[in-house]
Amino acid sequence: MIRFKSAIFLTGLVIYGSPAWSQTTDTNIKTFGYFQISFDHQKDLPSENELNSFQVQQLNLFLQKNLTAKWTAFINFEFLNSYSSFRNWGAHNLEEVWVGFHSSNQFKLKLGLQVPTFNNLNEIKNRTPLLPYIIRPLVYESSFNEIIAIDEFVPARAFVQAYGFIPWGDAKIEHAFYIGNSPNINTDPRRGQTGVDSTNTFLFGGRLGLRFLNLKAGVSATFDDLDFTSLADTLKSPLARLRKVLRVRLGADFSFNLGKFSGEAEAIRVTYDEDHPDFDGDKEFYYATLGYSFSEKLFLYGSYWATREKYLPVTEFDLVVLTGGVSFTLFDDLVLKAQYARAEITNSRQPPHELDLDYYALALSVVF
Amino acid sequence: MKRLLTVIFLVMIGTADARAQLAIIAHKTVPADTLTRAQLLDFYTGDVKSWSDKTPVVVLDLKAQSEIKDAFYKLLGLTSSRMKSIRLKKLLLGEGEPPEALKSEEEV
Repeated sequence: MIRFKSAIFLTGLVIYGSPAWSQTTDTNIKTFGYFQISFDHQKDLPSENELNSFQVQQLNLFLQKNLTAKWTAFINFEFLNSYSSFRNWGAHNLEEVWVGFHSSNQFKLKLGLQVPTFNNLNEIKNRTPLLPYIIRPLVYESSFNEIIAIDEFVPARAFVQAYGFIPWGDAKIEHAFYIGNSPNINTDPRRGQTGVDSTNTFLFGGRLGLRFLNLKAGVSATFDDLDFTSLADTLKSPLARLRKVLRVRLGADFSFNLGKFSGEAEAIRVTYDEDHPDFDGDKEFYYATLGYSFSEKLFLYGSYWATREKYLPVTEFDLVVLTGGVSFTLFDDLVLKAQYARAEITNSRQPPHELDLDYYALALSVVF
Repeated sequence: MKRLLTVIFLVMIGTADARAQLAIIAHKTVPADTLTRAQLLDFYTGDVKSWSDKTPVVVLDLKAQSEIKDAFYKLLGLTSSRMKSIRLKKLLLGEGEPPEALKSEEEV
């Protein structure tokens, strides 16, 4: 016999309703964001050099306005590393400025400055509340910019993106295609307006993926041209005859949620279409993370990251990181994080150079 | 003419062996005779915001953690924390807002 315990209205799926109920016609400007403050301790081996630092690792402020039921405007201001123009600390970026058009789930359009879809993490690499990490997998960690040419691995910006998903039974075929500037952005005010593409080429890219319940996988690619003209002239190097070199990035991603376990993995390969004997800039990146939710609040993970880069003169630079951490959700908008990472850096130039780095970090991630 | 508010609500019924069952009851004006688990998941994650006839769907949720809420999310194949993560991702990417969360079942 079925005993009737309670009749509970858990949720309502409401069709139409008054404007007060509608979630698609609110045209007020919404202001929200997040920040992450951290403390980290680093120790270089074998030199035993140590440093400790507190910092505002990241602050992002969003402005969003639904212009109509189908059009949305979105702005993202980003401040990094305890930004202070007075003290010349950190950096601030106009990270996103776009207008979005939602025609259907199959076709959406973003027009304006945006972070393009590439693999699993590129779009959300700076959304610290979404990530259990304090330092992110190598090519997604802006503070590693001095060690790794992160912009070589992943596309930083695009300006037109068409995306969406196509239902396929209970699965979804995800697609995204975008266009943006080439990497040849003028940074020298003596050569004209800065921040603009100095060539007549573009970045083209996209991702195709499949999502089925709690499984997701995809492949990504970008194509653009690196212009070595000014670089070769400046360096007066044997590369002077190089002009435009086609760069191809290929990526693959996989992620899953299975009970209390979750995992994600990516691979990226960057190749340059150039047969010059003194030029070889190929790069690779891999990472894999396995996580376990002990409870709704406590999450533990372990992760492996590796990059291999080639530089001039022909040198291989390898970076391998083993890392693990824990995040504890104090309440919905506040998460405590802790992370340990051991990095091993190997440079093949003669004599070979090796460096080990121990990294400990604590952080507080806040959404407001 | 305003359309009638149409509500689908979940009823949790306790069975003799204390194993709860979930039932979904819909108003007769809902433009669907059946819903699959995948469709419910799409509504609650914000992937789909309208019915097949383009009529918008507005999702309401309960604010507080509860056995009913956990059971429903389990039916969808998600934990509460995973659902929050999916909705937060949409919010921070400018793709949508979390559903309105009401304080009590009576308010819903």
